[in-house]
Amino acid sequence: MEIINIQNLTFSYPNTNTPAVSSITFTANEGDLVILSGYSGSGKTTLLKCMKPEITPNGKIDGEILYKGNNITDYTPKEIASDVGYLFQNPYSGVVTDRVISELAFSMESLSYKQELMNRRIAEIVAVMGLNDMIDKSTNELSGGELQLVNLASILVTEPKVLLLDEPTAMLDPIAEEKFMSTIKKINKELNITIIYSTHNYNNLLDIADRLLVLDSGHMIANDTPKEALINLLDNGHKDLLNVYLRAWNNYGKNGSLPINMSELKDYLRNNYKKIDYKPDKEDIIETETVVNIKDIYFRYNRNSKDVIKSLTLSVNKGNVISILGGNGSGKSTLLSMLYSSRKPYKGKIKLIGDTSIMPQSVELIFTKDKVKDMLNDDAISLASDFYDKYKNSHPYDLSGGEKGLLGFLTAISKPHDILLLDEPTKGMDNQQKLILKDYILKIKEQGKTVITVTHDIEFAAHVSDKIGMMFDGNIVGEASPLDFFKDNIYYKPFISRVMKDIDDTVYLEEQLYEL
Amino acid sequence: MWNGKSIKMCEFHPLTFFVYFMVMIGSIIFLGNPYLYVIVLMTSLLLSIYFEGATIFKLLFKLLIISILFAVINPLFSHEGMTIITYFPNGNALTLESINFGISMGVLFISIMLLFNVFNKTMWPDRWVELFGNISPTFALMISMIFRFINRFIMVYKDLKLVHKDKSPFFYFSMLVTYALESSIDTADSMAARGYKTAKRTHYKRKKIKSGDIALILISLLFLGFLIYMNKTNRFVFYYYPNTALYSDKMSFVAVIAIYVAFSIIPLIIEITEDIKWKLLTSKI
Repeated sequence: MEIINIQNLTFSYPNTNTPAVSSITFTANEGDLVILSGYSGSGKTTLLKCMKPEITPNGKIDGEILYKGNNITDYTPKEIASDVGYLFQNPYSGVVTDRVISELAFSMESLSYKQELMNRRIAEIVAVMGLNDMIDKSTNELSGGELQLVNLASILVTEPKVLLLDEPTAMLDPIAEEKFMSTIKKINKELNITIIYSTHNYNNLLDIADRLLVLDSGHMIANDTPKEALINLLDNGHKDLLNVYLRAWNNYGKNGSLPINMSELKDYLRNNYKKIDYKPDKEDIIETETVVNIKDIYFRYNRNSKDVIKSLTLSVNKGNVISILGGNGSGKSTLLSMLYSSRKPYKGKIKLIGDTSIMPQSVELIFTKDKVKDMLNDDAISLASDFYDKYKNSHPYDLSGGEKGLLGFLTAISKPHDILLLDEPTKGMDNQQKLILKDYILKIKEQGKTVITVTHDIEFAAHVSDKIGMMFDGNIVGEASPLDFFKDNIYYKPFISRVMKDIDDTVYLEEQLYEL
Repeated sequence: MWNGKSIKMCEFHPLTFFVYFMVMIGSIIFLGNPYLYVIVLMTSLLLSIYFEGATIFKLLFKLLIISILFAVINPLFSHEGMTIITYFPNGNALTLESINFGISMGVLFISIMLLFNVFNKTMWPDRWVELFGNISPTFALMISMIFRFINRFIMVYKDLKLVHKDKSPFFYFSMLVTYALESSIDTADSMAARGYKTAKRTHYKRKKIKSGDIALILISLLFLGFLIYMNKTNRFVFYYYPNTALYSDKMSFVAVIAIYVAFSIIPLIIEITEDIKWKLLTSKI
């Protein structure tokens, strides 16, 4: 049954000439999983918000949005509130109350549910989603991944028919992302809820998705089953929007059918892979002076708590890019704050040569001015002239997640720095923005700056790093060049390296397979 | 949880708890009777020791210093009373009554602080929300949002201090305000998306009021009535000035003290009987 039907939808924000989305037409059936893809600023969020009248931004709407055959504005706010669920990108901003349990009850309380029904729904949803350990906690105690599950649960309790997910995993680490995705797959399959999933990274969803929509600056450039949509993109020359499956298939002469999940890709590459002569765009590591020298440091938060950093030793040479991977709460951010000397080890020594500047994980924290142009110095502007021209008059809080990340980086390099500390720099970024950031980092590296980044983003670390280490048990283990680091890992590897594991274990970048 | 031990009193509905404590605190403040101060001091101290062990004496020591200050300062400024001990150089009298009053204010201070210490440990945020949920769902939501906001504010403040070293308090404040305004827009969106204000709000109750709760509330109210009756009929009245004296007959005195001890010891009885029950139960397993 057709549940969402959008006909010729155009939306423009006030005082703008170009519509944010224009002439969008698509339908979704009951129980469909629809992937909505496209770069940041292509209109994904606007389109999703148009389908949820309570939060549709101010602006001019043309065209029709039909929900179950009737115009969506014909329903009462109460009906839409319970039937259409909306999940925000930032897990922290969706939370309203102090306790997890009140958060779960929030929508039901708003919709005037009876106590009996609330009891049963909460019991059900907690059991289905495995939230038992969380219900007695405060919402401030949860990690981003846990919060996003709670946010999802708090929507599911009112039995929605349609779920609109606005890049729900963009802010999460890979493990939390995987857990979230598997929950989504489960509710899509078992509860037959229609899901419109906006994301940059849909590799793991393609084989179960019913439809793939791709937006490019407000226009829909693909709307079909995933396979067909991807092939369409290729045929229409949108090379920058392709994903790894399509690139592999295209570069090996479109042999056989298009792989759309990991095992198909593995089979495909096993049959078609030919080793090419790959030259990395980074130079080999030149021996330079040591600018960061950490010797056997220890840190704990309270006298009675456990050590977060234990006997950690690390030295970094000038002009190198070092990435530190690791799970949540492994002490990565703590280490960075110690390098920034806002925390002190209780034992051991940290020696730094030069100034340090930090880009924190909550990047808004370094936005001290109301205008982008007031925050950047000439070096940053010359490095990022495109970015600067586009956003110089914007308020930093008005940028999207990924753009905030880029601005955070530029703000950090606008301060005196020889050593740059980046805490999860790629949070909320799409692939295009990650490429821009990589470019920035390699450029400041050329200027002889040292970069230390802690990140969950394995792919990104593979692309920018001279050395990669992993944080475990308060210590950095296995510090090595990307090639050696990924060769021996099982899980902490880039996607392509996991696929190529049994075929060629020296591959950790897609560029090693074919020219991009 | 208090010092790793679960508080069995918290099995009661927060409303019950609230009534019980209000009666306790109200009775010692409004009757102004030092006998009652001593009883509350003893029972709340016992309860605190039960949960916290020796560490409570740290707090007690601090309180003691403050209360000694009370006892010393009062006679310096208050010169009422019949029994004059001596005269200060400026001609004001040092009276026995003002010393008595100072001492009992000190004891009152300690007993109220200990009582609030117990109260605080048993009324964590969601119990406040539950308490007010019975009165108004919107008010309960507000309380919960305030708790969330304060905690979030503190977290962001700590993060800010890590990123910006050595800035003026005004800088942190203005950053926090920007952050708060920005996040309130998101919160408003999230509330709207989840149907806020589309229907009459209800309140999700985690705890029901059970017969035990009703019993304890009734006991508290009866107890309050009893105390007021004894006080109003002059069967149990205490005066500091002009001379320190208790007006009571023997029967009434014994009755009030016995009932007061029994009432103030209720939380301790609950804890201990539950503990014993649990030990017996585990020994059977």
